[in-house]
Amino acid sequence: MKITVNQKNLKKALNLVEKIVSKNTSLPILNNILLKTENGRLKVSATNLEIGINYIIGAKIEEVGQIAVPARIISDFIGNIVDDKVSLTTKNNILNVNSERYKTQILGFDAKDFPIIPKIKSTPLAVIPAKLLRNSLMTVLDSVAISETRPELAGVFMDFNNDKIVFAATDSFRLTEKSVDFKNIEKQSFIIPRNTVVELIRIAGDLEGDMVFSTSDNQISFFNDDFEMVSRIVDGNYPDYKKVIPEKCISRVLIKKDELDKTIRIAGLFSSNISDIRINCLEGKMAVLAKNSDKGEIETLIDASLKNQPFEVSLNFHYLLDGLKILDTEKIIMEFTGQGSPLVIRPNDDKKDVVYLIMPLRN
Amino acid sequence: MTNEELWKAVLGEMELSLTKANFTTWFRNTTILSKDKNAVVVSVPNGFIKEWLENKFNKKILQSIRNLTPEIREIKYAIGRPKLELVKQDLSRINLDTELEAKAESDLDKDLDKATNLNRKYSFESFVVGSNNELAYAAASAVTKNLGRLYNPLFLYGGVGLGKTHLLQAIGNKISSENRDRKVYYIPAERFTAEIVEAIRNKNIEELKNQYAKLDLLMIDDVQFIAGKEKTQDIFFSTFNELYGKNKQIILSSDRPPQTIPALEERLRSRFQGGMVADVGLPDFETRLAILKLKAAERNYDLNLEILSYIATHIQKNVRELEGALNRVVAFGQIYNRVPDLKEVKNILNTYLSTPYRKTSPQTILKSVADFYSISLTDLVKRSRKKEIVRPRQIAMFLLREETKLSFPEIGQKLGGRDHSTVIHACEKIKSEVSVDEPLKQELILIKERVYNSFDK
Repeated sequence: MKITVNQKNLKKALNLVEKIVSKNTSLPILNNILLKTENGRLKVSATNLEIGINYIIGAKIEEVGQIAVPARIISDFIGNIVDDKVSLTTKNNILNVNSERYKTQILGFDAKDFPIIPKIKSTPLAVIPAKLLRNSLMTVLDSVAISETRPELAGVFMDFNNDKIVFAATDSFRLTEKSVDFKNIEKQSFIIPRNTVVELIRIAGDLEGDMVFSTSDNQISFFNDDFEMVSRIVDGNYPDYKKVIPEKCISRVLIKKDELDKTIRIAGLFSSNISDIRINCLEGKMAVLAKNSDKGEIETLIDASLKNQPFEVSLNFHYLLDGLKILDTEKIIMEFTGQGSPLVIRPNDDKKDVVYLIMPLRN
Repeated sequence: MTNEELWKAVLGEMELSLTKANFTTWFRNTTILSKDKNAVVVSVPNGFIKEWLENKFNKKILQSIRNLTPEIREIKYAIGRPKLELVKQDLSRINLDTELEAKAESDLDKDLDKATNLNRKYSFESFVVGSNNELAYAAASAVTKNLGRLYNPLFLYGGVGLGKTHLLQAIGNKISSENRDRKVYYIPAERFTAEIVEAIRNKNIEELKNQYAKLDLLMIDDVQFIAGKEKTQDIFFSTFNELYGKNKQIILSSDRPPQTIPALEERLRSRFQGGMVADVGLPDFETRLAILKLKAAERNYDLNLEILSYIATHIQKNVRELEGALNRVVAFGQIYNRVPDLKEVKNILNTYLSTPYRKTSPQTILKSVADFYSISLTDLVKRSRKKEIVRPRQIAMFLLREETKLSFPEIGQKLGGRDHSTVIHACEKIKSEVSVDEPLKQELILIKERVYNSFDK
């Protein structure tokens, strides 16, 4: 291999793919990034056998070839140099990286040992603007279960249905659902693993334009012209979460989001080790209370307009803050649906595209 | 030849030619999905593995399949659907937290009784009695017949993994199975301390005391851990008196006799000794053999006497290790589906037994002695003739002589240049005392245990 590339482009490519490289001691080849010439350009790939990412950048190619090099070294090196152009040449599994000021030899591995990132051949399913995809995934990410005890909950559920794409996530203590209008799509649903979602959010932040995706055989791929990410899909059926979202509510409160957010943060200081705070809704007022036998207690009153009867509920304040974070309206609606049933939080607008549920704590 | 057998044969061949990491990465969870006249469909868990097998191992796999079934010409790879039928869950509420809790509990629940904290798998029937634990066993079974009146408190002590907890729990299980109304409670001392700390924080210490006062049988495991924890001892003391006064049974276990537990209040120590103190010692060969037979029968696994006696001869110190060794042998048998012969057993247990011979160094002995009596190493070798130092010093001399076979003058040298006659005197004194003084014997055992354990660090 003998090529010349722009340092900035290479740095960007390495940054994009490098994050999924894990320290895998049993299979050391996975700690590497694959550099390969392909169709007159340079393809940079990394994989952890669960997710694979390819990113293609322009390069001046004099001689084709490929090599696998340790991810940390190459990305730290390229990230720190300032020369504009970098020439990459390989000889006997050694990568020579030369530029105006640097002469470097990086010991690499035979590219033949590098895992092959699968190609997904089926027809594209949908084209989504990268930013929209990113925002939707960010909205639901907090609710994804972290533990793998129930694998189907450790991912984001995507449901293509009725001119809508619905993103949902729950860890059984709270649930987020976000829907995005989308015309003419085929009916389909799958669960994307948490790690893939995290990577996708990170990468989609750096990409412009649209993202295409397609699935086949337990795999999903997201791609555009320069970029491709392939991941497994979580096996299993997503729980029928729609049943959980209450249709009717007993009381409804309209409240200023920022004020509530601040109040909860302050009350959180006095929560006990299970992070519980109590919300007591009265006519025209909402009291936020917290009590901790070690620290003390607090009661804050804020304005709120209540419809129907007063109510009282005890919650994990972290969950509540996570919920407020994803809503972007000035005021929000909180719905009480009975003792022991979830508290529903929605934005105060007509779109009704986000719903956030929290299970109250039993006292 | 069935598909499974065929695939097993292929895996066997592949395993030999690949590194372990490679093999497990690429061949885990693969099976033959179907086979027809000249093609085999192999199911793989994901796309990465599919690509890799197709591109890298196809030739080898095909070759080894054709060795066995020559008519096969082609291998196809398919990404497998999950084999496990996922139970459709009706998620009528997201209130899964309770469900999750319930599930976690039910897993434990099989054996663990929540009210009493007892594990049901421990019973008198599964306890093997030998000369080492006769007394403890007899005392324990006497207690179950005459709760609270005969031996109260019952104090069991003995080394690690010799069956104290087993006996304790067996008593509890027997009592609670005979009469469900009896309030039985088993708790390790550490948990007991934790409960008290929690109660102090929540300011409901009285509640906790009341709870304990209602019990018919209280069992505290590893009671030596409350040593040095004054508040715990305090609460334990009042609970003890309360229960004792009402003729309720108390059973305690510890790794050493009451008189050698350091930092234990005197009033507690005397109470511990007030009832029945029984020791659980190291099992002798016959007992070990009997234990192995029983455990093998529990696993429905038949091993011949030769193998069992091999295990029993080579693992002597700890019943738990004995069981571990047996488990290894049984696991081997289950994997290869046959009873291993003696040679294989030797091989299997090699790692277990081949703790390289390590020589006891005088330093470790001195340090263990000093640690055990909480005195400093320098005190031990200084000229002080205080009683609390002289005694450990003599024990150190005795142990040095016994364990390292140093000459008397050498030992004297190590302990601050003492005369060899001093050392001879010390060794003889301790030697004669050991035969009559049970606590001293225990102390020596504990110190030796420390010496041996210090190898592992």
